[in-house]
Amino acid sequence: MNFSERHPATQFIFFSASICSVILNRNPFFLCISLVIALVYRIFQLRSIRILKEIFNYILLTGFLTVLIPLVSHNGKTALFFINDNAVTKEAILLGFSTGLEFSAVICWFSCMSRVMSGEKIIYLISGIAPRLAVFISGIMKFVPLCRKQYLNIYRTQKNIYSGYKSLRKKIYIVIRSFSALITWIIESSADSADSMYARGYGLYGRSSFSIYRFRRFDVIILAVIVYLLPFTATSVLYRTAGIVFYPETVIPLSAANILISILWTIIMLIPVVTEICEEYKWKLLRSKI
Amino acid sequence: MEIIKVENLSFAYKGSKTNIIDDISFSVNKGDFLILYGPSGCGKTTLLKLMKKEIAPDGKRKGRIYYKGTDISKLDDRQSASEIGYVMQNPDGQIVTDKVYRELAFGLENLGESDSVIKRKTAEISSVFGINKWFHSDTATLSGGQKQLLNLAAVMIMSPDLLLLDEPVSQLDPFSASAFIEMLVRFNREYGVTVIISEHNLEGIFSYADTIAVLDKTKIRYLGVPRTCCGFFAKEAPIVEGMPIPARIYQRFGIKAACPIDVREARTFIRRYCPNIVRKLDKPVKLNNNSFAVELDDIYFRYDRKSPDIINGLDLKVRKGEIYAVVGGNGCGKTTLLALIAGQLKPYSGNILIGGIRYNAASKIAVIPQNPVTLFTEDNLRDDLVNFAVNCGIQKDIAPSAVNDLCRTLGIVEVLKNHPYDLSGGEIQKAALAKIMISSPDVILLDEPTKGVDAWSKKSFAEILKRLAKEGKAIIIVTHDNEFAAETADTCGLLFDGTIISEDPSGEFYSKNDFYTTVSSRITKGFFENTVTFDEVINLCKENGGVK
Repeated sequence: MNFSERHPATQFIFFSASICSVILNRNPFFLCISLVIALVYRIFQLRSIRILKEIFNYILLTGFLTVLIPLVSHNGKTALFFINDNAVTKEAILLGFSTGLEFSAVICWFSCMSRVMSGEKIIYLISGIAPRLAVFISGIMKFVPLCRKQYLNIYRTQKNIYSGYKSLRKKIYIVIRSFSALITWIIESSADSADSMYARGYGLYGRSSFSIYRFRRFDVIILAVIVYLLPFTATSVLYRTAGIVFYPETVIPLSAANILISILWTIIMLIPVVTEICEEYKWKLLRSKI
Repeated sequence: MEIIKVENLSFAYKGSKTNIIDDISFSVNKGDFLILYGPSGCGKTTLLKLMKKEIAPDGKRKGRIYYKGTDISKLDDRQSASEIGYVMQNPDGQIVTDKVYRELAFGLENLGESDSVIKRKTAEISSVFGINKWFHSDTATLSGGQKQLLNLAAVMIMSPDLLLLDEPVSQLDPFSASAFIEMLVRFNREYGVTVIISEHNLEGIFSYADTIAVLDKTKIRYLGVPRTCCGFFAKEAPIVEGMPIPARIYQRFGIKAACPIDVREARTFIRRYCPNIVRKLDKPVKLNNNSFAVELDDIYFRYDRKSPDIINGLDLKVRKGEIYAVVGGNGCGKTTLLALIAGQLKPYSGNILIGGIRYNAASKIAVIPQNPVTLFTEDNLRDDLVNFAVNCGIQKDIAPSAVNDLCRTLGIVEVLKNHPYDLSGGEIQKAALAKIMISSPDVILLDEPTKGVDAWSKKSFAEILKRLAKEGKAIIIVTHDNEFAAETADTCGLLFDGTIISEDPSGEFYSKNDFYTTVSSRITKGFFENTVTFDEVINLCKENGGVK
């Protein structure tokens, strides 16, 4: 079972934890590892040449910040050279580089997440907390494509009957009229939706919530590990062992606690990639047996 | 045992002094299939909504409705929600959520059923309805027929005892409509669900009903079995017009025998009570030597570079004063063809000539889209039409009277003050015709003009089209409605596989077809030779002495 088929709650907590860990633990080694893992996962997700473009964008972003920050920040002990009498320091370059890594890693994790967490899953998660809001959002998700279609219908029809209109003013006039007709349509059709909702008992006391997702043992394990790690990370952030200090001199925190936490987080972040590889291998094995 | 009982029910909408339904009494037994029949605007929807307390309209009500012996207004909310199901006319509006499975679960969630119960029921209902394949789909991607089936499924999942349906198939094409009706009949026959369905077109549903209630001008005029219904209304045009052709044939024969209610019985009936000495009706050949209004020459079209051709080497020629009907199954590219002629889409190969010259912005073509209400943008019909007339260059002071005159000829003067959304199916088609006539086009394109239109309005609409053709307009109709095409069009073309496969004068077209043809033609196949419309059947029966 791929990670993308896991329970939405697991996926949501996994991605939130991965993103948080990147933001909280700014150890450059850890950031590098995290970015690499996210990229590998992204390769599995995309399986196309598009990934090269994304990698190029991350390199560009990191490079840009590595150059930009030394130009605006002149703190730091070790001056490498001067531009217009302003020192370009080693510390500032390191800060720029690690900020670039951090941004890239966060963006990469977010893009992995958006691929896995569809709107459907997010609505499901919301329905756990606010069922009525979830119905509302789901209704809007249904309505938006219909509105777009209806608008195009109206607009095309209007454009057609006013086909002699060429000036920009008249074209805008058509758009405005189509839009006002669309609003009438929206009101009409939401009246139908409301009737249909109440006809099926919407608003009765004690609404339950149905989902097609199942919570399995593997979900429990992942969640348990993440929950177990949380306090450690929290304390390490609290005692600033995770935070890297750039100025006046760059000190990379390499305490035993930080290394341990980084390793554990790395293992967690590897979960989707490892399951993808195992799946792939299993399939090949099965197919070779046939 | 009666499941619903209506006693002396009268109802008037808020602000209206006249009753929309007046002193109606009837009862429906458990497991019955009742059709509520009547022309548009006779109060069918109001009556149905009054039986469902959650959506009962506001207004002045007299009389009582009992559901299983309890007054409907005192019925428990939960019981009313789950035991009385309601399906509306518009397939889109009543879908609430974005995913099919969520839509199915919606009712049960409202009742607070547990996850395992909902899981089981959604699985059950999807298996019965064959929804499995699109269980995870977005509701917005479904076709009209699928949407309406989903609406039925989403109601059936709460296992109601009583199902109320308000013209559920009027917006569907005939194939989806019969699939829907079959499903409905199955629930009635195999699961004992009581069905009350309102309809203005009885073809295709008549034979399934136990009881038929004819609602006309606020009253129930007839309540009884379908078989005797047609004889009851011997001469009343609007009511008889919507009856199925077998029953109408029987009514014209005017003999004391059992009324046929489907094609099979009608075939036996006509063979038994009418000789066929004259087998062929003498039909005058309509000669049209006008110049071509629309010429399509070897047209190719596809939506994407990589997608397959929708229109594939199509030739089509329509003369001035000709009504041409393009018929064909679902998704065969009929609407695409119209958009190409109207210049909304461009073919990647081939020529389209309008009045002998290549299509350009000055070509006088008007389209009535499938959804004619999109033509209107004002709050009432009169303002909209007058506004448009002024925009088309008619002087401000004479525009209102010009609009009035035009609407009088179309028979929609009474509804000019109404909001376009409040018009019935027939009225909105005529209003749409009024709007496009203002710009005096040479070519008129109509996309499914009979959708949601009752039989009576269909007939008067056909007459208007014929009149326009006589004035020299070229009219192209795209339709699923074989009956309408046979009666209205001069020429019919079957669109299949991206091209016009066969093209003939409409009479010949339908008598040559064995399967894709009209009800009249199916009834008389092998008995008469060229009768494709109801009137032709009756005329030939007259010649043979079957009908006096």
